Amino acid sequence: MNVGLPGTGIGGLFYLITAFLMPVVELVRTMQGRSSWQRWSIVGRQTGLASGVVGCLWATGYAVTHLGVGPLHGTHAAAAGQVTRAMGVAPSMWTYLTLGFILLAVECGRWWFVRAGQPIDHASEST
Amino acid sequence: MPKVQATAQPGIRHAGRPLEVGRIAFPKASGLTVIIPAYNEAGSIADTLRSLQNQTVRPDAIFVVDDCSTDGTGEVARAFGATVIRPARNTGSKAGAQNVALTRVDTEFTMAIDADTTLAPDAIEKLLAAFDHPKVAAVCGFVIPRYVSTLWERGRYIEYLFAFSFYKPIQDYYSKPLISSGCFSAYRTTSLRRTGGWSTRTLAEDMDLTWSFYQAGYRVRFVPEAVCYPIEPHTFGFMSKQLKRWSHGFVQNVRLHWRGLFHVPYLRSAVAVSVWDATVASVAYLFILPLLALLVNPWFLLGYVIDVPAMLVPVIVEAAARREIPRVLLSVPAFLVLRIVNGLSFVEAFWTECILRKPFKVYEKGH
Repeated sequence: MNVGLPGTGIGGLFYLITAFLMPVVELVRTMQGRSSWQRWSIVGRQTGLASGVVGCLWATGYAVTHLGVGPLHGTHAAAAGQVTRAMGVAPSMWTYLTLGFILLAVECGRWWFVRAGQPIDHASEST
Repeated sequence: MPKVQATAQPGIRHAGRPLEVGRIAFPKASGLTVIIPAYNEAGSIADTLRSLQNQTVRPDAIFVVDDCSTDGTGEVARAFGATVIRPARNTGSKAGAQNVALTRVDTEFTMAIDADTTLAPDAIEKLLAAFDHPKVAAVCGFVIPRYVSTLWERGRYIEYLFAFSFYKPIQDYYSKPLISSGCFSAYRTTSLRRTGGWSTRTLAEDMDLTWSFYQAGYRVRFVPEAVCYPIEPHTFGFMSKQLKRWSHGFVQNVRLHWRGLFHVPYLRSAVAVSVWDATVASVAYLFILPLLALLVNPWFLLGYVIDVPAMLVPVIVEAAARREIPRVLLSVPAFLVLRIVNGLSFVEAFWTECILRKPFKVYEKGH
């Protein structure tokens, strides 16, 4: 099963960012001697796909706002620009802030539970 | 625990004609028992059993839980050499049926597969190879709709290609696949039993089990090379039943596990953004965009399609490997329709479960 609306908004941005973090994580694992060519091939594939997604987002946003797809002029172009930003096609500061807020809220929730004495499952942390 | 009766008889005739495939003795080698919960699946379970017989690594035993079917499902299963377990009365859910069979499993691994799902010939072999660490409790595979014909099947086809080629490998890299899909997953039997088997407390027993594994310190893996082919809902009626079960199941699991999820890195963030997407993004998609288009500028309707080219990048890469690009291109409009229905389903589930506090508990079969 899937959750939410695949492709749109904050969830998509979350997976893009975590895909771009994969080479960094793998580099650290390589230095620790915990990597392999198989792992690097997965990292390369997903990072490549993420790069393709970002490139396509940028091209779509550019086409809509600058090339007059539609054709768009005046208020129409402004509206299209708003749409592209709102849908994460041209991620605005607002999109990043929203994702940052969600992730921060989750970490604050975790911190609160740790303070409240809830046990942390270290076995799952170590994976 | 319901009273059960188990039988395994070959050569039963079904619907007035003999079945083409008879009983096959599975060699004791894999350490795997397959559980197939089935309610009125006579039309599809033969394909499932045939695909199990054609595996490069065959299971030691196949248990078909015939959940009081009325269409001869048990007879079809027996004809294929499966052990048929028929509870005294319908268990009321897939999880309930699976638990009936779990008490009889005596192998190291247990696999759950739906009665309308077939497997690639090496699917079990690939799946079992991923149990390379004692902490790995569950392994799931790549899901592709078997038939891609109707609007709903086409929409689901794109949705799965995107999710299983882009989201799921990233989740697996961080050791936290969001769900070990109920239609095709293998489990370490001891871990499965320690976690209590498949719980009936939510409508998404696979999500419940996966999140319970993480909280107990186990690992879950995703193996994209292990491919299964379920029959997806082909009508709006079936699709809406399935989506209702999934969306309510998701909300129920979030409400059940949210405290425990704080302690599971990556998963807590993935679930949080999923909740956001399922609620705020759905409301924006369903209500705010049309309002903006109506009140401000019709170009806001672009929002419904503007992310499609980017979404299609991983989809087309996967489709190219399968030589299915024309099928993908033909299916894109169906995906847009399914996305709207998906959004409606999640908004309804959050409204009913969280605002009205009316949990949906009836397990309605929708494939």
